[in-house]
Amino acid sequence: MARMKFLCDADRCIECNACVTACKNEHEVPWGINRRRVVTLNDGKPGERSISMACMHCTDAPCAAVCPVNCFYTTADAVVLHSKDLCIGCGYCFYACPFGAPQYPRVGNFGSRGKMDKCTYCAGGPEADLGTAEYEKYGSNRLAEGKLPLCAEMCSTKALLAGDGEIIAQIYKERVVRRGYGSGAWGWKTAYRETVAI
Amino acid sequence: MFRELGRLQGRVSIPDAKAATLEQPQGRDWRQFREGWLPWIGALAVLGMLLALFAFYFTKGRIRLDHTEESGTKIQRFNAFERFTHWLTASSFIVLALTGLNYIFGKRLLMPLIGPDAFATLSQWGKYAHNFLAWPFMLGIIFMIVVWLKDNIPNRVDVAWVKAGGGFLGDAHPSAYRFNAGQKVVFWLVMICGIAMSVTGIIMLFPFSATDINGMQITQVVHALIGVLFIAAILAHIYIGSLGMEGAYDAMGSGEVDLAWARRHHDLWVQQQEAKTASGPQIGSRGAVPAE
Amino acid sequence: MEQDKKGVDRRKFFGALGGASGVAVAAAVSPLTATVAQAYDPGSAETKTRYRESEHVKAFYRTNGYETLKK
Repeated sequence: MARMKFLCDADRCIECNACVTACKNEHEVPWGINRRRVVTLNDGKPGERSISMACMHCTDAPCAAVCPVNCFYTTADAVVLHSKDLCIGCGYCFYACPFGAPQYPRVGNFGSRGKMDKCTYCAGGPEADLGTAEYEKYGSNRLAEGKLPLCAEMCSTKALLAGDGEIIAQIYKERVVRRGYGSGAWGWKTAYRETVAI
Repeated sequence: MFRELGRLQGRVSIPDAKAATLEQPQGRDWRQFREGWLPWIGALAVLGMLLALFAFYFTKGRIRLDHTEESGTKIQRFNAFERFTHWLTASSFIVLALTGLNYIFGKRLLMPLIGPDAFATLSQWGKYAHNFLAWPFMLGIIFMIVVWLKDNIPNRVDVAWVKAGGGFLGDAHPSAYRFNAGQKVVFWLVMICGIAMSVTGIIMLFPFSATDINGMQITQVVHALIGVLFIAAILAHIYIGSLGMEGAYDAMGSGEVDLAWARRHHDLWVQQQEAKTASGPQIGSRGAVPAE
Repeated sequence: MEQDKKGVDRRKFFGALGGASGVAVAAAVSPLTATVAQAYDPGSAETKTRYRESEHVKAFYRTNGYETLKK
């Protein structure tokens, strides 16, 4: 069975933030929430790299482990999803997440958080596929439509890869071999406990 | 633990500063604490204290009230404001403790019993209660400093009290002023733990306004560790103030204690009160002016 | 004497209470060892696979790989 993964080819990413914009538009994400973001390391220095980062849908996800109400579940595609009906907005998943993926709307005093929101790998949530309830809470469900996450599909430099982990690892390997360099699959060791062997 | 090793910090074009952290492996350490160690530390502290209290109760029993010729006469020990302060802090503490323990043990103990939906609703309200009742608790801590600090400065009598085993482990009733050394320990424990819980709690009530992700993790660790130890200590306080000692509960219940009990446990304080009220009887009269 | 007798009864009452709560605590703690943090199971319909290698997805893989550039 295919295991969904993200892979950002940092040698191709030009920090155009189109993935961020596409994600926000596709899922009608509220203000202040970024399911995906582009981080630039060594900005303005030699070795500068930009990496598009969202939820990596980890194997043995730390967010799911620390959740005090166990609102997370992993689908057969290895996509980590959560139920906003169960989430209490405690913020623990953000403390545990190595990638800073969970986001919270601010809903009141004392810095209190609303229901957590994060990248769904364009796979919706526990509600019925492609329904209004699912769209309002989690955004669109492109996976159920036979598509891939929009951020990767519309990447102009084809830096962001999504889909079956084995296939995208193969694509990345070919690229590195052909061009002779590559900064590795960012976050793979942490998220999947394996990396792309070149 | 929580060293900034391996943390990848960059720059983002969105106004969310914490989004600039690309990776923070410290999340794994925090997970290990929260899921690996904390449930064991918490269970050990709380259940260990309960077991110790059961053992003490079954071997030693209640500390009985001795009947003397002064039995039946009442002396005011805590005035209305002092009792209000105590119960304000105590009632919010109990809710804070239960909702706090729910973060650790709820999904392990309660969730299998009542199901995910009911448990999530309960935890949601528990979170609100935890966030909002923190404020009356902190107010109670401030009031406690105002009303009881002056009676809780350690002095020479406390040394003798501790040497005599406090009349708790031994059979003697050593001298004490208004608060004996044991009660002073409780006071300072509540002060230190209460202030530590308040400071770490406020940092978490305003997440990321004072510190970054690793700071938030450390804050949560400190809050949780002190929290479970605090709960264990307060269990002992609840025991001695209710079941453990006959006559002790009246002090915080009605505010008036049996004079025989007072002379047994706080002889020097009774002498002070008697000297103060030589002109007008404070002992034995209801609605007397508080001895302040 | 009567008061003493009453006291004993009360002691027994608390003893029984203590014993009962001890059992309750033991019963409550036993799942602590058994339960490792597990995500909840929303049902097979929610966790079923949704990904399929449609023409759309195949096109994505094809356009992202170098090998296709040769063709």
